[in-house]
Amino acid sequence: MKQLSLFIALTLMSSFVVAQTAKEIMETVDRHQRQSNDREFTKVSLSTCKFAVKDGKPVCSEQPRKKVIETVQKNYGNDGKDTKSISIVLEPASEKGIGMLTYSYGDDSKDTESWLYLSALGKVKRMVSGGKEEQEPVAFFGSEFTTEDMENGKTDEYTYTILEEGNYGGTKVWVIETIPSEQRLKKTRYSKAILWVDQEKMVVVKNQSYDKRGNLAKKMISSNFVETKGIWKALETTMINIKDSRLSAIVTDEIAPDVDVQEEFLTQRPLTDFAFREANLNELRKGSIKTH
Amino acid sequence: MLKFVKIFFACCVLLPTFSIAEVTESGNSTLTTQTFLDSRLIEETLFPSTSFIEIETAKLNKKPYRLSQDEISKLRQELNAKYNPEEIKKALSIHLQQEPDNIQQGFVELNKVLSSEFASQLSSARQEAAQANKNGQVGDYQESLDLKKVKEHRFQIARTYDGLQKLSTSQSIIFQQIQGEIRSSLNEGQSSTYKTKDPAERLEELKQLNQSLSLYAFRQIPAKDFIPYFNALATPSVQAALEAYEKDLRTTLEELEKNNAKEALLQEDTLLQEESLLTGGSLLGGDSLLLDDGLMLNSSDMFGSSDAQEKSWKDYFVFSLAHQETHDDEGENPIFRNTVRVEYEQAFANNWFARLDVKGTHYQLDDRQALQKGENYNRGKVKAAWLQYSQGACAIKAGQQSLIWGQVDGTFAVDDITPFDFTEKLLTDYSAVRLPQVMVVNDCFFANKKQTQLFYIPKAQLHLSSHLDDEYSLMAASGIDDEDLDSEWGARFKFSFGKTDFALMYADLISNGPTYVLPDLVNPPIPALSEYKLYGFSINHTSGSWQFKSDIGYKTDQLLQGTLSEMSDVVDAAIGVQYLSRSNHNFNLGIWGQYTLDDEQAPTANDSTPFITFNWSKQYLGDSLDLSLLASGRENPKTSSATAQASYKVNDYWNVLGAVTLVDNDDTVINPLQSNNNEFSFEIKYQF
Repeated sequence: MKQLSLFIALTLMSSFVVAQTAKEIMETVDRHQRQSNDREFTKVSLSTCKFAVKDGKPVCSEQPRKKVIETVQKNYGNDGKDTKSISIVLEPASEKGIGMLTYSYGDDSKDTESWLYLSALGKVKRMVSGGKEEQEPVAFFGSEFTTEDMENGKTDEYTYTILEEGNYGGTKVWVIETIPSEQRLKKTRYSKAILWVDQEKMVVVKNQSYDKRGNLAKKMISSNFVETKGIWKALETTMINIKDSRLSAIVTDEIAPDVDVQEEFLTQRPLTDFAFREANLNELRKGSIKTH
Repeated sequence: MLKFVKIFFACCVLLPTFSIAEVTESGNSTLTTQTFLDSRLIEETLFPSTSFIEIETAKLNKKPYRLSQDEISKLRQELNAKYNPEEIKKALSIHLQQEPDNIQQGFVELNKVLSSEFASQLSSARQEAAQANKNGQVGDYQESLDLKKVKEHRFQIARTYDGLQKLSTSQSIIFQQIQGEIRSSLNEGQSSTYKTKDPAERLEELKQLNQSLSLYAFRQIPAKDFIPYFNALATPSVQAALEAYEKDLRTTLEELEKNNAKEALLQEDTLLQEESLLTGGSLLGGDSLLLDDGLMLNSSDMFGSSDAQEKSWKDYFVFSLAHQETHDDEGENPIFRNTVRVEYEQAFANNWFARLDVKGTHYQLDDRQALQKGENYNRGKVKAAWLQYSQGACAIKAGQQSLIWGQVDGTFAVDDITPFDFTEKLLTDYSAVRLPQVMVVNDCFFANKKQTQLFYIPKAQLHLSSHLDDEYSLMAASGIDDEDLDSEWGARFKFSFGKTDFALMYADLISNGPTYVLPDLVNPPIPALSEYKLYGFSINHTSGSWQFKSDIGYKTDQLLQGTLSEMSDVVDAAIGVQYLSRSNHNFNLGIWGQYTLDDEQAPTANDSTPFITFNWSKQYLGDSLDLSLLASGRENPKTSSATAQASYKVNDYWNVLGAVTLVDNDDTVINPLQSNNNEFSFEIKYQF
């Protein structure tokens, strides 16, 4: 009887450990992802097109749309789950000068705050963020990435299971299945996702998302990783929308990690005080590394 | 489950059955009950290798699912043994034999067309898949190509399962109509008149009818709408057998998939090929801070080179070319304009910033402005020309610019500083209808919570209504002397508490448009300008999906129209609410009214009922398509209009826009920004 009890206890413990491990892995990955964006200046190209496959490679079957965006971000609060960021669109010409300031909070009860500079009116407008609950994700700057694909700090809203562990492309990975909680399921477009997590870098190298019918909807591939203070970050992320045969790629053209961001820069001021904005951005640009 | 089986029966069982019948070119059908019930055909029908088992087993055969041929054969044998095709065939044949031959023939033709289309789609999908294979594609993407069309078909079935209870009235009506037409044609086929026709002609007619009906049905009606029709042919025994068959098969396949899926997750060959396909390099490369160029080839391959380059002079400019047309239903106020716009902005010498925005417009002879003038002409406009300097907590901006106050969109309770340019057509660019002025604006920022603003305008300007005489045509027309236009100045203090923003405003202003007053009871009205003080207050509170806002302006010394130069203080008040729905539809409602405070002066022309605005907008196709609806109006004087607008970004350079405006105004109402007739507007723009 004692042996049986011991066996049951060990079985339960091992299950518990595995479950904890999966969540701990994802919490670490999530924390690293937030840390990798903290106090950072980036200039990214966000390109989107419909694609076809030629000679085994995806090629755009239409003229791609490309946005170039400069972003400065800083994290705050416990675990850095609160963020302040400002983004300025440089390209295309039709959207040049659009600026957006966003404060987002790890605490789900607090609404995201955002302000948009309306160049036609020359004034700043506070935006309606939408309800925290059940708000449908929107396309991120018109790309195949959605706001949901970009968010982090939501590890409590999922359950995680390690499906497999082993070599993947010559590197050890965990293959982790994430299932949204009942509450999360109301506001996500996905029924589940499978993540390939690099055990050494603690980054997601691949993410397959499944729609509510359980069909594969999107694949996200990250590559070209750089390290800053032990935290790895992908410089290129491609999102492939399987259903629509469209893809978007975010490529970091310039990056300045661990920069000194003035508090005043993450306020509404740079949205209208262009001289102040450019003076600050010029300093950040000088310290940035061109990635190619 | 039963519903699903019915659908499955209708779509996967019956359709392929009929599709395999043959009709000879002579018009004589070779179909007989016997051939129709050929055991081989029935077996394939009831266990449709092409539409169910093969799909499922093909899925299993593809990575990450792996199932051996032996296992597949075994599975199929087990299922066939359990559900004897002969029994089902017998049940079906008894039922079908009771039906008239020509009903069967009708179905044959109907389904032949359906199946033909489906087969064509499948064939096309397989060709794509073959090409994909040739290109070295593997895995899920191959599956998505190969089975895309099949899945679409199956999705119709699944949709039926989900949506059976939601069958809309309109769809039911369409279906009933088609049912009626089919029945009618089949009845006609049995009539003596019809039988006297040449058999070949008869068959051809029937084929054409069925083809048109089935094509229509195939495209217009979800599969679920066929259910009642096909259910008439399904006996309970067949349904029960199929239900059990389907359930068992699905359970077995799910088990097999589950067992094989885990194993497949780490299939390096498949996944590596996928990575190679997508990134052109090893996923786990790039250990150094500086990147391996080879790894960046992927984005270049897809989108061309994105090498970071030094800024060139072109980066400081934006050029826009546009053509704009508006037609109204009376042909009275057309717009035909071509514009060139150049925008330049650049930071320099640390803390300095300059912006220039100029626009040249060619008014074609058919344009309403050119018609007034009697000739086509060109006109330039400086929309912005300013220099900004920032130091410490403050910035100062001097030059031609606009300054807009207030929170409630589409209302002007405190938005009195920058006049309007009524010669412009308002589409999406709100700056187009403003008339920038030379001014100096000083802003100081205190953390993120407080902001002060001071402005000074050396010489006020009035609304611009036409280009007939000079830039100040309103002044010229009204006889107001340029010397009458004095300076304006004002200040605003903005501050925030949590999610609530407040603004307090004061300004010394000259009205942007003249008021017609009586100098005495003998002479006709003359235009005069109010010089007044504005005390304003704005508030804006945002909570989740809602935003509530209000502007209140107390204005002194407002001239009252049609009086003996009498003046009164007025209150302009606007309230608004904005709502963002769960699916990101944006709604705005605003109400704006002006109230004369001196009761003794009432009623005057200044008194009017509140002006109401409503706006809906949403972006579709990422951010490529903007749809919006703007409606506004008031009761007295009666004005109402509604504009539906669509703006589509073809790519990063081209944008097209179409708008329809419906207007219902009192004839006496003159709205300088809008004609009193219904209008259609079109604009095409190229920006680079």
